[in-house]
Amino acid sequence: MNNKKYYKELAEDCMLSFTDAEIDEIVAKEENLKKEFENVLKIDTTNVKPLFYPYDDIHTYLRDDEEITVIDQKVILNNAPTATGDFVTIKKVVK
Amino acid sequence: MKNFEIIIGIENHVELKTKTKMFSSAPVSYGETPNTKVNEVDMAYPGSLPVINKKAIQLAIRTCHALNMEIDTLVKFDRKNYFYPDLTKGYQITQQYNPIGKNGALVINVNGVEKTVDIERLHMEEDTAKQIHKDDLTFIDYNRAGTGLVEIVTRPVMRSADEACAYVEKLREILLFLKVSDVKMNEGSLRTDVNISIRPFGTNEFSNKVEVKNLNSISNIKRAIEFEVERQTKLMLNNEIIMQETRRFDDTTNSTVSMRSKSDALDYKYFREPNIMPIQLDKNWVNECIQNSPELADVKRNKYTNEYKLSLNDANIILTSIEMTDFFEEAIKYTNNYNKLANILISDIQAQLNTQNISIDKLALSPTHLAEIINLVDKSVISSKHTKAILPIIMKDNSKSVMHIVQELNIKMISDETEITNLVNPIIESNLELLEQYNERPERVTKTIMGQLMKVTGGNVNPEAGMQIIIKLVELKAK
Repeated sequence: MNNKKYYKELAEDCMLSFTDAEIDEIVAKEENLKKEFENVLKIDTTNVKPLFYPYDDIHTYLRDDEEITVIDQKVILNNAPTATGDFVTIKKVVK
Repeated sequence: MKNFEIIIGIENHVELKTKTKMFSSAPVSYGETPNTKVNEVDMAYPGSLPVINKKAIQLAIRTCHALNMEIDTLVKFDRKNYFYPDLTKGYQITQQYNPIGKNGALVINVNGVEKTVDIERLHMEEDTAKQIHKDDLTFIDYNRAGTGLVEIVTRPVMRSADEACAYVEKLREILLFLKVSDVKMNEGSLRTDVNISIRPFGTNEFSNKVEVKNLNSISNIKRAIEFEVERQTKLMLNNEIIMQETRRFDDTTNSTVSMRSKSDALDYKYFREPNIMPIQLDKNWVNECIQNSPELADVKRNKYTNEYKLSLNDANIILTSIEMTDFFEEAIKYTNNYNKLANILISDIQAQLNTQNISIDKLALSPTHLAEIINLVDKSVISSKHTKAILPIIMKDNSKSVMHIVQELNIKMISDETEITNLVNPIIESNLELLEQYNERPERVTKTIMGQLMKVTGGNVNPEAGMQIIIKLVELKAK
């Protein structure tokens, strides 16, 4: 697959925009990762169950439905790529 | 149409009635200013981590128990991965592999016939943000993102639109009375997806399944199923393939419209949520949650009809609203005239609630006030018709006592014998000619005098006491 073309399409789908230099960097990183993973893939994982947690512990803690915390709307809207009025806005996601 | 067998399965999303969200301490809200009820967890800010809401688990346990489900006390969550702006994390936390409840059953009654609906699973998850698509933008309000949900999935066992509606109505009632959810279909706190397929009678294979999403009223569930059965039947009769797809119901055209086909289905790449360790629930706590569950509507219905002798219709009207039910149950602590109480609630008061489009807890009227009015009628301190004069006042303002209003309106009934005698005597004296008819037409005479007595007192004489005295005095005079 032409990775550069693939990433351009993926960026378009995700409504992100990358420069050619950024895409080159991503492609290079991916190639490097693949090489690293070649070593990982050599490990025999037959009969090894997936591990999702760092510890095999069972917890009991549940949060009480009491304390309420919010962050200021200004913080949220300022942190969003774009905002209009009270809303976070993005390029329309449905046709 | 009768040549085809219908099969229906239902998925319900139920917003949990908690103060805070499923995995964050932001408040649960509806209709608030957009993006004011969110925190770092809801917005997936770096370093923020989800922590499970105890109350949400409690409500899920209550529901599982009411639906006769097996409860898994080892709570685990999974990630449903998708890239969409309604959840900023890029995934939804749900319970794909270990639902908290499974293998339940709910008995419904359809036109007098009972049927058991098998429930496959109940799992907990988080709600998504609301989006408004307008012009070339999508406007996002994250207030709803992270609100606790339970999803309840039946097995495909329902065979008609009526069964589907009866199931959702029954489920709605249970969730309402367990105080698990507001279950307001129009506000989205109870959302229904219906899976429908058909097959010719005598065959084994059903057609491809069609899902109709987000039905927001019981009547829309019925209309959507009926339309879909008709559409699929026509396709089958024309030897056309029924596509496996997701559709939505358009209530303006009374039809379903295709949203996406199964070939567009996403692979959500589910895996265990690594940010939430498995939680072992204490079995004693689980039992406490069950034992402390509020009384179900079925138990109340039984009590109202058998113990309080209400008609089934009256009982059902009261039980359609949790606020009305709470009001009724508080009021019966202060009066034992249950039928009178029910009558006033479902006539005068319900009419007022409908006019104002509010629930009874928004009225100034208190259960003790209404009970007092009924008791005053029962003791003949006021007449039954005077309740109509008192109610509009006390529904708006409860600062005055019922007796205070009775005095202000001057509607206290006269029951004192001497007082009534003093009022009747002059009426008799001015109607001596009428008294001559007493032997032939006694009722006409007494009723005429009663009419005049009511006229001079503005209808404030106790009719029973008044009539007794009239008969006594007329008979004395007629001798």
